[in-house]
Amino acid sequence: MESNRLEHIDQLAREALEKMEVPYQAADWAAMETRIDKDAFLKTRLYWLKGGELLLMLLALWLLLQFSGWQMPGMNFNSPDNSTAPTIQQSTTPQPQIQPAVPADNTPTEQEHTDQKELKENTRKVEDVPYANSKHKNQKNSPLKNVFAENRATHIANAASLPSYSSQTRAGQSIFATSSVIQTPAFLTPPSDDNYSTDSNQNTNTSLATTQRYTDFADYLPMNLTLLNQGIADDLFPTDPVSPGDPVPNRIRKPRHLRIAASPDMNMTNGGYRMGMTASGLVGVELTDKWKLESGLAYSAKIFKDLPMNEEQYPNLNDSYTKNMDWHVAEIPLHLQYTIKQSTNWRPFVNVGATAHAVLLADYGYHNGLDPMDSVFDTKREAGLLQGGNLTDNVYYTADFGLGLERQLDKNLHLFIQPTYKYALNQVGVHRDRVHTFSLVMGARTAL
Amino acid sequence: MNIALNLRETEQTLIQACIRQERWAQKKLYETHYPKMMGVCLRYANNQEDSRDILHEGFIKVFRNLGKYQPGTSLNAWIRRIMVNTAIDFYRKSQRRRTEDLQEAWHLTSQEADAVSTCTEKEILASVQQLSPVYRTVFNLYAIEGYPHKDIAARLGITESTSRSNLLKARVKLQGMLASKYTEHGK
Repeated sequence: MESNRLEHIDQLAREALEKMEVPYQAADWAAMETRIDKDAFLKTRLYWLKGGELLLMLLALWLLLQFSGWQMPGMNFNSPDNSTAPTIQQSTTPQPQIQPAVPADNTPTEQEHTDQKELKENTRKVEDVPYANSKHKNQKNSPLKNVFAENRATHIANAASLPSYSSQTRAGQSIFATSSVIQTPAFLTPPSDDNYSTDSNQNTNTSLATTQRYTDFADYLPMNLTLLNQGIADDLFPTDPVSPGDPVPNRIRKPRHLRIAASPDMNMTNGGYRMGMTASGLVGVELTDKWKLESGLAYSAKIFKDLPMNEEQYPNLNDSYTKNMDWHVAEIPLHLQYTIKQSTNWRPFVNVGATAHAVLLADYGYHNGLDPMDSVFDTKREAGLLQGGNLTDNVYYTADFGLGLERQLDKNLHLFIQPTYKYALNQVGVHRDRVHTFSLVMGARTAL
Repeated sequence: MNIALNLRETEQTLIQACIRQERWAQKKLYETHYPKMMGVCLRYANNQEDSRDILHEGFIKVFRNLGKYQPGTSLNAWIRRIMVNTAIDFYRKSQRRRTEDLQEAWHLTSQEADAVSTCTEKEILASVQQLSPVYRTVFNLYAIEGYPHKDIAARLGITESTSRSNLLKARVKLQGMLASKYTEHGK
């Protein structure tokens, strides 16, 4: 009897208080707002959100600029505009043939003797020339060998003293040997703000190749265009500053490149490790000798089977339940690549950056291990972005770090291998998993 | 059907905006759930200030963990569960063992027991708030939230028998307070 009366209290209290409502107080929101502003966790998340949005905007802007044809100043090697980067223009004048450097009169004139002496003083040995490894080095009687050495010496010499040439040469004599008697044309005079060295011992005058002088120089010396047409232009007019002793003389450095790669992945969540795969296509631009910037698109398949359920999310669920997740992810990376060292045909490098991942298709399935008669998927759920899912569940970001090694095969083609770790910065999926990925990226890089 | 879908979309939009830390969405969510959640917090606190603290602490947890909310389930129930857990955390440290004189409480007459039914909502709330924290918490969790003693014991870090004992004491005390209010009204 007494217990019945006491239980009656329960019912009374429940009826009175279970659905009790209190009128809203605006002053309470002001206090709540202050509390939100002070909460460190919410502030940190806000910074990450805004930072991620800014990064995406910058990435979109960069992609837009890339595909709109804008190029970084000073890196347009194909522009016909003489006010910027140089181009080597084809001359319409008939190309004279190269004659062996055999003077009709073997006795050098006094001036020629002086010139040759100066030439020798300012000329680097042929063996020191990087292009000693070129295909012509074994051609002892190559009529071009002396031409290369002497022409290179001419380039290395003080630009201010570089002579002009007359299209008229003395019969049988190499035009490169008669430098001193010709006046320096105005277009060969370096401007005062040029920063290339005039030290004859340094190969820094190759900037000469990157200025408009080459354009005019080529016109003035139609002979060189013959050499260009013969496919040895790189030896005469290198398109990049090549360090002494460059072991890969035939490398062509272009401002843009394309990397195609694939990788087996190990995806790690708090429930375990599962394998996946990724395929990517990246476009990169060279910022400096050492630095490159890359972005592009990748596809990743992540399959998680028999993972335990998230205890935080389902505290009352027994341990026998497991989940399967099948994700198809689109990725947009933004990476900076730093070349550690360029030696022979190998190039070790470091890759750092971030990637935005969007889960386009996400299939979830659940299994109750206690009842083996149940089908593998007791319930199914589709929650990817293309399946009606929301951004919170299907977008996550990673901070990426990789070490790579690249091997050059020929002028344009390089193969590389690059182990990479992607650390997830936020949770993803309807079960709020954090997915870290270790990839062994392998592929090829080619100049664009 | 269409209305239900629209409401769900609105709720989803609001939730997404809250996750993005948009202040207008947080305010909207707060205003929408304030009346009921404040009622929950008042049952667990013994004054207005404490109940506001529990409410705000609970909403902070809601904003932090909104990403874990399962769409399709009841948002109100999810927030309510967070509020209850917050209230439990709030008073866990302030738990004190108190001894009660059960003999006095058992001497209620049947007329007084029946009179309890006539008390108003406010009086019942006031009486619940006058209970000691541990009695109040056990009573709320059992009588109103519907948790079994096993779960209550696990949440509060006590044994099942202690939970049952506290519930009994809470009921007795509550009945006594309500009966005395009835007696005052009668006078």
